[in-house]
Amino acid sequence: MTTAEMISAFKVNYDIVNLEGPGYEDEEILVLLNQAQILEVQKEIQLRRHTWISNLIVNQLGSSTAGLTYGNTRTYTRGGTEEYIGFISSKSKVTRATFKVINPADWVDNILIRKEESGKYVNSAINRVILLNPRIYEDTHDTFTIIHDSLTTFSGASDVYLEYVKKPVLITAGVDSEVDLMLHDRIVNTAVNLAKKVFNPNESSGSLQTDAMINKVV
Amino acid sequence: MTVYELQHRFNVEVEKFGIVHPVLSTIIEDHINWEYQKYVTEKYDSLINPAEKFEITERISRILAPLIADYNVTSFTPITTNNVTGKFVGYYAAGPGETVLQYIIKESAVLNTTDCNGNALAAPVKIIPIKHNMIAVNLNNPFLQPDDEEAIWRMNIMSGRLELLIPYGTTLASYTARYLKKITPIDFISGTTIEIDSSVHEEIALKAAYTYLSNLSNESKQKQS
Repeated sequence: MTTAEMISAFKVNYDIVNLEGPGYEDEEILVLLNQAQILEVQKEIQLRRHTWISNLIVNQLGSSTAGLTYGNTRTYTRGGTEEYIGFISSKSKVTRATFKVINPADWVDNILIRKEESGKYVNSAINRVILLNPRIYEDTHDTFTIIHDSLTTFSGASDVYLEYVKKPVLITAGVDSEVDLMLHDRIVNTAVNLAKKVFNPNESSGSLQTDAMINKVV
Repeated sequence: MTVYELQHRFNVEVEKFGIVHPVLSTIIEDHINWEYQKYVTEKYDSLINPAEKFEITERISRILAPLIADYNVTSFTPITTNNVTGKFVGYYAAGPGETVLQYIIKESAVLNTTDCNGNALAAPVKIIPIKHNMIAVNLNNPFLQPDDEEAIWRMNIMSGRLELLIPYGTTLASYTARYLKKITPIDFISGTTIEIDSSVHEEIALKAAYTYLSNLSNESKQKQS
């Protein structure tokens, strides 16, 4: 659907269900469509279903730098200008001198963990960890921290691969939605639900997942 | 198995039961050391499991073989409290050390004595480990008391020392023992791993993992009740 078709579809759907509701200008509908687009993309990320958002996937090869002052960590700073909204996968190119030797350097998957759990993975005087797969967590804006064990070595040159979902460009009068056509109807429906919630917050959208996400947004 | 392999094996086993975050390595160390000591103690002690006692089979002998060490000493300190003039005199040897010595499994000594012609003689003698209260009981028994042709007595005393009672008028030239030493706990930081035969390392790591999981399960039951 083009932007104009999405706006038109919004009006049709909204009018059907809310003849008594407030009307919306096109600019207002675009705001709702953009909110809905983010919600639908987030749903796909949560479901690890990347087919319909493949246009948003960014593959990046970069270099890590020495990380925190304690433990064995590396920092990876994401390049590019796109805004990051979801992690897909990551790999590190490492060598291991002993125990499950990797030499010459080869790629191993990084396993995503939550930042608050990272302490359990960090090497210290009382906790010597064995991590055959490094762990990665989303750290500060645009940076990721990779935790590895004392036996793993990073070269620091083109040693981290990151695959993530970028934020879609805003739908505007001249710019159509980037996501797959299959999601366009869902975006319009979610935008309609958002519009209904504006004047009746208790109204159900018909999907518990959408309700939960909308309640965070509205 | 190296300490890396032991820790990894433990982690793999607990991951099967949904423990996805790494267990603190000091906790793994403690659990493996506990099971290691239990395993070795069972093999030492026939009272716990008569079928598994030391050297009962070639396999058990091989498992414990790395814990066998030798001790030899030629310097002794007199002990006057147990001396009985005309019967025997007491000495002690420092021993391999109380942090090391577990059980003596073979021992012998050489006495400086004289033959029937009065010539100096270094006589090899057997060692009889006896109980403390048997000193007085056997003191006047000519068939059992220490003598320079057959055997001398040995008892365990404080600080890992070995008390040796030898016939009056002789001196100790040397004492030799073979013993089972105490296990050295594994240490992930220094890399000290299990000393006994590698064929049982995995068994010990698995037992440690199950003990850990069992403790977790008990804790969770206690919280619920």
